[in-house]
Amino acid sequence: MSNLSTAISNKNPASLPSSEAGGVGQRTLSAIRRFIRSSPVGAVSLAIWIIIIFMAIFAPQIAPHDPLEPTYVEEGPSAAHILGTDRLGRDVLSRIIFGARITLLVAFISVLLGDAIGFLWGIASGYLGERFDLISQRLVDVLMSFPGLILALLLMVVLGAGLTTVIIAIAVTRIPSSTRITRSVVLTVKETSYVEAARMIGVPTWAIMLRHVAPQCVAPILVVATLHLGAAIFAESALSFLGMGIPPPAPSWGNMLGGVLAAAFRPPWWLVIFPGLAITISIMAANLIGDALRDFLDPKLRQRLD
Amino acid sequence: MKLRTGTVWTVLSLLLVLSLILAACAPAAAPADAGSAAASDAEAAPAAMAPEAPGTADDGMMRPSGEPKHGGILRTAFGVTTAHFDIHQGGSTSVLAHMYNGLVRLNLVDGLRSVIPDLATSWDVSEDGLTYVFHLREGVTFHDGEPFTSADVVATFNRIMDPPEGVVSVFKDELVMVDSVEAVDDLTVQFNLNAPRSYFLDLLAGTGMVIYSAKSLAENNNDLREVIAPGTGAFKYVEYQTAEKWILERNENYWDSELPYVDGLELLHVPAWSDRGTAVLTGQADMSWNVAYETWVEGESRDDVSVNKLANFGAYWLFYNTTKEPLNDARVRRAMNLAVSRQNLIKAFSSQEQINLTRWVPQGDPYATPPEEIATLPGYREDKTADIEEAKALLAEAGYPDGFSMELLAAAGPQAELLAPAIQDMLQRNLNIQTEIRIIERSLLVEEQKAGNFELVLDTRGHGLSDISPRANLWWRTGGSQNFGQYSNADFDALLDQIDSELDTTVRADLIRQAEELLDQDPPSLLIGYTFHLPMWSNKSDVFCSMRQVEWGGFILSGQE
Amino acid sequence: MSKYILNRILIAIPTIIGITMLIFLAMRVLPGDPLAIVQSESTGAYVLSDDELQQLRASLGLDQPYYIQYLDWMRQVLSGNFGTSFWTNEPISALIARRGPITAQIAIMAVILSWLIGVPVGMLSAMWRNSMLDYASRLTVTVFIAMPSYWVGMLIVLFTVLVYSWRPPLTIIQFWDDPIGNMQITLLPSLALGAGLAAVTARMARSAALEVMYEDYVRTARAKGLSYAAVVWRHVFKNAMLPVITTSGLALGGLLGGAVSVEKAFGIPGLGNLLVQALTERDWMMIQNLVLLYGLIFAVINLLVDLSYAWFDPRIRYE
Repeated sequence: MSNLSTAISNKNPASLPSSEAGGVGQRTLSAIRRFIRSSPVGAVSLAIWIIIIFMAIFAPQIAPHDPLEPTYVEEGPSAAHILGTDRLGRDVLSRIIFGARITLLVAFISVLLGDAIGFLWGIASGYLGERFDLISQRLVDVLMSFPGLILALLLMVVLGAGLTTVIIAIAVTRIPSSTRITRSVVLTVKETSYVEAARMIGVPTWAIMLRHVAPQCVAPILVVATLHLGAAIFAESALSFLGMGIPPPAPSWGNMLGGVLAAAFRPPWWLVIFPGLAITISIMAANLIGDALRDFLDPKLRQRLD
Repeated sequence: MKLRTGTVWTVLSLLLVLSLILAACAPAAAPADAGSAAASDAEAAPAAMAPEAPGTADDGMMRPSGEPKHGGILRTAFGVTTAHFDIHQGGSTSVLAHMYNGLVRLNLVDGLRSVIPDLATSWDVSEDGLTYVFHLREGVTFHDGEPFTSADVVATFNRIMDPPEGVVSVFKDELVMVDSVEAVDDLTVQFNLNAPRSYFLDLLAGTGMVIYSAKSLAENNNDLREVIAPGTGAFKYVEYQTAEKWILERNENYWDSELPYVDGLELLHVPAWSDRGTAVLTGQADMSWNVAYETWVEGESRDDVSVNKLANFGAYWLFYNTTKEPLNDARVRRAMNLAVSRQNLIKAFSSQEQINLTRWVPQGDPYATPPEEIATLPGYREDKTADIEEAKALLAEAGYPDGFSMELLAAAGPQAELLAPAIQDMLQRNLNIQTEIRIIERSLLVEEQKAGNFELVLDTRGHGLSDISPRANLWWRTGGSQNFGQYSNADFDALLDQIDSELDTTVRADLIRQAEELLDQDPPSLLIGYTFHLPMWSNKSDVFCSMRQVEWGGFILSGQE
Repeated sequence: MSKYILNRILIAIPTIIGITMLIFLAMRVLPGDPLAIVQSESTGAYVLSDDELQQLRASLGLDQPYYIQYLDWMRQVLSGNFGTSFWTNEPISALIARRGPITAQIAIMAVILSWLIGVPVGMLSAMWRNSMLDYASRLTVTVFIAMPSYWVGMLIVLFTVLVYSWRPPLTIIQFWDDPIGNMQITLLPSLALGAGLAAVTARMARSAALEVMYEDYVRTARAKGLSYAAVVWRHVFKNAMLPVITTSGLALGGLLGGAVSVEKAFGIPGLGNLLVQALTERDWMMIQNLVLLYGLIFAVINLLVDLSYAWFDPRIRYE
């Protein structure tokens, strides 16, 4: 319990990553070891995520049934179907296992894409300043002027439903916040003496941006990305729930929930509970990893991110 | 999109629904039992929907048996939005028809089998079936006090057949056999046809064939989309609260002074199908024309609610685009029709709708193949072993022993979630035909079909008239205006010419049998099945029980559906 | 201060113009032409001929160049004309007037509920730091932050249906017409929507309270002999509320987005369900104006939040 509390309250002194050890592999290993020691809750969450990733990769080996095979009988949990079957008589457990593939694919790629763009844009905007910054920030303002889900819905109707378009729509909604945060870091880094020194001796702008400014922004964007992971899972599930995301028959946790309540006066409880649990657990784990990572990398970041 | 499907479906078949009220209300005792009894009746022979004579219909004056009470407001749960208020340009009849009458209507008392008087009290048909003379009812007035005369009928039909610029006439194609409509005198109208049609009166009894006054057409430049034109119907317009409800009140001057029994209607707007049943189950509405199957099941198990099950003229189809390889080969299409189990599809969709096993003519039409016979036919029968064997052989013969792959287009929602994956699974499992499901919004589905942007498309399609002729000309004749799959079979076209103009029912029955046979061999589409209509109404209180009687009268007059 | 306000409003103007242009462009690249068909019950769908289509386009002004269409739209919106639904011909402004209050009410009630639940929980958590209560509340907070609000809504519906056979009313009942009926519609959705925010609020209130508790003036107050409860009430509570209130403003905008899926879960006839229906039916005029409405409300809320920050924290004004 006390471990959990430290993770949540963020009061534990976080150790900054340093480069004392030898090889890259060794360094990573020791970093992971320190991460686990600094936040056991974060470690447990990481383990949950590793399980989810494992589930996604080995879905065909793990799943007890073909997720697309209808038996035309809807039934509650039983020995044959541990989590029951859906309206077409497809095995819910197998659909959740295969659904992890789509969830992870969408979450990872959209966050990677959106935050990479936001990262580069934020560096350029913050460092170059002046007119480019002004226009960029107005553009970000416009993107930020929509509740995220509404913007994603608008993009989905324009792009048409599908896996790729869901990824793009969610990626776009990640851009504004990662741009803002990166930019705010750049603004402080820009004023540091070594950046000014580099400018003095005539290092080209792009080189300063890449070599001196960008590395300083990696830690915050990493934390942002972890936190975005949960948000992306939520966005995908909400879009699919509304019937505007991953199209059937492919199983996604969100589209498994869509239409369940509307189909019956007394909805089958197992179709509501299990996919929702999968969504909640993965979002919770992503959030906890993000929190732990934030404390681990830089406790000062907290203020900027809140 | 639910709303749109729902509206189309249900309106098509409001006719049939009405008999629920017959079935339920006629025996005044034990209303809950009456519902389930009627349901089993409907299963055996859906067309014979009224178990006993529930009343009389002399001279079109329909009366329920028993002691109907007057008074009360009836609340219905349904989709009641309409693109505009002009029925002849596509305005929704489920809302508007309560305010109007046609020349003739279908008899509710005999389960919609015969055509009975409405605004016309009687009619004479010439021997060759080319001239129809209608004698109009005297003393009828529109809601604005204007007297009803032959001029109104002429103006109404002239606008349908020859719409002025800017008017989109949706019934134009249905009336191509009419050359002219003329007024013989103030209360007599003559229709001159260029070809005989055995179903002509049924056509005029359709829900959309309402009579507008010549005055309102003239005043509004022939465009009634923006105005609620006065009608002659049992109910008058009071108020429309946008996307919420319509309020109608009884027409005190209605030509049948006994009707309507209810003081008014509140047509509540409940767009989602499943919510309509929920509205009745939770007492927010007194009845709904058609509810989702799972809410219907809940209603069936309850004492305070009655349900019924009726045949319907709306169906689920898988259309083939016959211009695309290999669907241009009749053997491939027949193989696919054989390999897909309709029983499985019916089960797959059972949470949404009850689909019944149907051949090309739906139950409820006098020419339909009896259900017991359909259940033994290749492709329709439960046991698939022989059908799949034959399908594989046909496919091999056509040069596709290892199957092929193509796209399956479906509307977002339950069709794409339930029917499409089931079809995909069976085609792959039985014939190794790989399909990729493409989902688009329902509102775009027809457009894609019109543009020919499909190979296989899953869609609903229905019709107002049970007779095969009108829809066969639109859907299956070479070059038909809704023949989006470009189906073409010269033998069928020739057969259809005969069916269209044949007046002798025995000969016609034989011709239609041949046509069904032909469509089975060279299918333009896979007919998954026509739906059952699932009405549900509350019988919570005595007040409402009597109101149902009242509503019976009310609805007889309101929707000639 | 007034200079800051003016400045901030001036910045908002290009943002709003940007919003309108983004929406307009998005709608023009929308695939498909909903004009091609007229739905009709009797004939299924009636397909318009090219001539009829041309006429219809002209009557809707769709044959004009884009910039004229854009300016026309702007003129209409500024004059309060939101057009009509393509499929049902209903005036969009009337729809918004009927359904908007329900959605707004759900969002505002969600915020209020989040205070009523979140602030006491956070405060208690802070006062009994590291107690079982603290751990339990923090665990709950972590779970609720992760639960999608629409799923919370689904669980609530599932519970009321399975246990009480009760489903919320389907019709629109405004608060001023029938407060009890209105609450039957809005209370549970706002609870579903507010649950996540309550968790965030609790977490925020806790950390704000903890920070204040170690400030000098609180210690002084304690030293002066004021009771623990009095200190908490006078100093800690007030300071904890500040960030909560300002953040709630920002959250309100997010709730508008979240309300879409929650309304769907409950089947509430609010603005969100209207938007989803318009999106699935490609009712482009409706989409265009509803998304604009969401954008404008969100932009205004952002503006107000910024101004309130400046009001509470004078340092911002001089940045």
